[in-house]
Amino acid sequence: MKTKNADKSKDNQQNKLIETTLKTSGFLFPKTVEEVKEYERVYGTTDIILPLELQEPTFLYTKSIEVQNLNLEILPSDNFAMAAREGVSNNLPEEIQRKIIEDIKKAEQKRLK
Amino acid sequence: MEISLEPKSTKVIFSELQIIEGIKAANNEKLIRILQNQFYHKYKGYVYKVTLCNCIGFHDSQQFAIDITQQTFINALKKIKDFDLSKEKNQDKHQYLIKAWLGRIAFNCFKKEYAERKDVIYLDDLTTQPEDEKIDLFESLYGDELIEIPNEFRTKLNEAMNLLTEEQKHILLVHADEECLNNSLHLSDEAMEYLCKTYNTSSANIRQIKKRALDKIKDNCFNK
Repeated sequence: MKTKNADKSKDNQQNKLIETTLKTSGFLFPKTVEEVKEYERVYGTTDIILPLELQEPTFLYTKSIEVQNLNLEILPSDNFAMAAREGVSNNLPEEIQRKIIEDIKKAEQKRLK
Repeated sequence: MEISLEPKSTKVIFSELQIIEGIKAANNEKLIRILQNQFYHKYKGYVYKVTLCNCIGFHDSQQFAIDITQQTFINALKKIKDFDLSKEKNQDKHQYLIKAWLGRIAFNCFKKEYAERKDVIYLDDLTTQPEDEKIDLFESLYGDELIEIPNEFRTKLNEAMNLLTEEQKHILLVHADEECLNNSLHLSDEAMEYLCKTYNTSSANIRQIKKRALDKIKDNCFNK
């Protein structure tokens, strides 16, 4: 009986060790302050080189379908980015879609002048 | 010689608390955008780094990590109104709390993106599901003190994880995330349902896959 309990306790300790290591070794997202600190102790705080898609947060203004809820200012340049991504603009409110089309027309007229 | 009377543009760097509270309170769209940009630039490196670490071993890991990083910030900005950083008076802790909060959001995004990649049918269910209740519980971000991990064990576990299939790895990680590696502990209904739907299999089979994966890990970490 004692051996069985000892085995169980050893098993529990091993599982705990695996869980904690997974949480602080990059296999799981650190979700508490302690896990973040341990993750940064192991991996450092130096950022890695970001891919182009993440250099600037333009996706915040083009990808989110709830642009209006974020109270964002829509610049013409963003509108073109949206228009370039076919399909995404279909999710936008009509008013914003209209503004995109107007901006594109204006830019087109300017270019032809 | 021309003398410019234009004031030189200076970039104002805000503290974590100023950024969070500013985004919540500002009614000037330009200011909101400036604050959102600062928030993004402060944490984009961290979020991408942890996300990429999580995605390694999964198919098309870099694009997977990019998608999750973007979605994490979109969701964070939507949820920022519920995040009360002012509860923590020690400013040194603010960046850790934000990272922990972003980690939770990123984990939820990972689950949704992964299910979407495996099989689109579950996506609708997931998007209508309420987010993990814990996500807005500020207190839970602090967590317990961690046990010390020897570097040698970290290396062994890393090697052992590479021996698992993508399916085994994912199922094991979902169990580890809920601290359910012990056979006597069971996953939450939500997590089990997520795994069953993602892999189109029964809960008994999921538990079996987890057991085999865990045995393989232990064999490599403790018995060799």
